Amino acid sequence: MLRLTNIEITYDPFIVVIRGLSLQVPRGQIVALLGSNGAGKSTTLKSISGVIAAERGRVTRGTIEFEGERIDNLSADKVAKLGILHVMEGRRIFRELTVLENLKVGLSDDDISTAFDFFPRLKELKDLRAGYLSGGEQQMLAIARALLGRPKVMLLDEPSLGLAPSIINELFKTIRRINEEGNITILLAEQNAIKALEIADYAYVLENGRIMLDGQSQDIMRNRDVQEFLMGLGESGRKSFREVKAYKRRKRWLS
Amino acid sequence: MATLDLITLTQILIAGALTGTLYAPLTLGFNIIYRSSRVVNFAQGELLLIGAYVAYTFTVLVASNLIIGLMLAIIATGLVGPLIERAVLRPLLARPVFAAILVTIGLGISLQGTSQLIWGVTPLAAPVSFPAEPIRIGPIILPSVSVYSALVSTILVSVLLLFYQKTKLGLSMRAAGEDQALAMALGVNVRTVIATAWTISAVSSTVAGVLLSGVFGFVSYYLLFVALRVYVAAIVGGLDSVGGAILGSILIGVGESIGGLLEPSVGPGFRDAFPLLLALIVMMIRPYGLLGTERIERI
Ligand SMILES: Nc1ncnc2c1ncn2[C@@H]1O[C@H](COP(=O)(O)OP(=O)(O)OP(=O)(O)O)[C@@H](O)[C@H]1O
Ligand SMILES: [Mg+2]
Repeated sequence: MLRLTNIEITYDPFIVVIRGLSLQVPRGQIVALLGSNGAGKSTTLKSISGVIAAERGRVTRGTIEFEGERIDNLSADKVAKLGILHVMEGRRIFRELTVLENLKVGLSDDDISTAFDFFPRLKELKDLRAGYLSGGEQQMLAIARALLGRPKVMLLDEPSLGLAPSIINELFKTIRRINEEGNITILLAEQNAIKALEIADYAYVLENGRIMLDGQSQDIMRNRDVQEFLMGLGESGRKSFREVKAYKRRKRWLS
Repeated sequence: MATLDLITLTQILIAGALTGTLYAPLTLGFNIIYRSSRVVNFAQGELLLIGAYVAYTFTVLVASNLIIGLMLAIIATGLVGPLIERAVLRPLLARPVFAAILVTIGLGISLQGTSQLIWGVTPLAAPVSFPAEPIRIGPIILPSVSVYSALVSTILVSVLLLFYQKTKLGLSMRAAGEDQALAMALGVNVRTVIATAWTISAVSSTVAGVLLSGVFGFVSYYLLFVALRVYVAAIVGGLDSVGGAILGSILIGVGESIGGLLEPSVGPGFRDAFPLLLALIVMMIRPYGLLGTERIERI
């Protein structure tokens, strides 16, 4: 339902960050986008949701299609209205607004109880200014708010960033529930490969703006190189897929 | 000085406060633009000037009925909002606000030029003249225009507060003011938000223009100098607060009143300087302004 075909993303003026990237997110699935710092995960998500324009970036080649419609370089509010909501990196929330007000901004269901069903903790905090929430609570708020927009697709950018392991576990369970019960397709960008693969159906591995590997989660999870580079297991000292011959002739995407 | 009795003092304070409400619509206009986009609008005075000229055109030249003339003027200046958004601000959407702030300086200069081109430099008749007869409340004597301005400001503030707290667009405005990119990602049409803010600001400035030109008895670009006080009022009150805009305006008005009273003994110019002094003191005690919300900084 969401398909990126051979896209190239350029930040102003000529910084090409993503080259020839193709991926697809089928309806109802959780697709993980893995990669270490600077791989281009956020850039990819931002190009889908259109917020990249705020950073003077744009899709300079290729196409992004959503339900058969071209959405590349569409303005962010229009993409949101089509049903793609982006939960940005770093727990972006409106710090000066209360939790309740945050939940009501933009596309939002009049019935906000859904948000509290998935994140009961927020109910107790609803009148507090959001800037005072803890990191985990802010992340919950960011996701809850997107949820109220009744998206078809949710783009999650490193929800685990800076959270304690127990909170991450809880959060990822909720993400799974949002996918299953809320019937929302999810594209999840994560550095935490283990956690992401646990809940994802399919995964892409990104390095230096290119897709190095993709496959069913179980297969990716068992992949020795993924274990080594992204999960910190193994001891060969190699740090990137580029050093691995097998992936040099990376398979061309058939679009 | 020695014979300053209680009634005179009360009189001066009240008159000062009411003078402050004269500035309030303009301060509110400034405030709403800041609040919806964090842009410090250096063209606020020019919006007032254009508003006053447009009101002149419609009340004196076009419509014979004052009320209809004013209505037309308000509609006409309301169109300025979408115009400025489309022509000047849209390319700067979700970019660092600094660029937009610089652009308002340029906007101010070109609005000034345009107004001189259209309406010339000689003072024109004020669109509305207020009754010369002062209004008496017990022993207190007040100029009639102040009473009108107090009334108008009260209405404006109530409407704006309701707008911010109760409407979706008001919430979108507060959200966009904090983070435009995020608001857009949530489906907020930030272009509409900004156009609306400028429309409200332009209309509110027109109201201020009508009131102030009524006080002076003419429309000319002297009004621009009056508008300078508004920047001080807005900052003292707290840039992001409606109540603060009013309070700041009143503080400036009262400051002028007291400064005017002390001017003979202190020296010429004290009437204009004293409000600034007050402002300085307030800012030292409350850097975010009287009612401004403190930024939440968590590290
Ligand atoms: N606004 C920008 N202008 C220029 N280059 C940028 C911009 N934003 C990101 N980049 C570059 O694009 C590359 C990818 O960045 P991106 O933020 O997409 O990585 P990421 O995979 O999300 O990394 P992380 O896990 O650290 O968040 C980086 O090399 C970065 O320096
Ligand atoms: Mg990132």
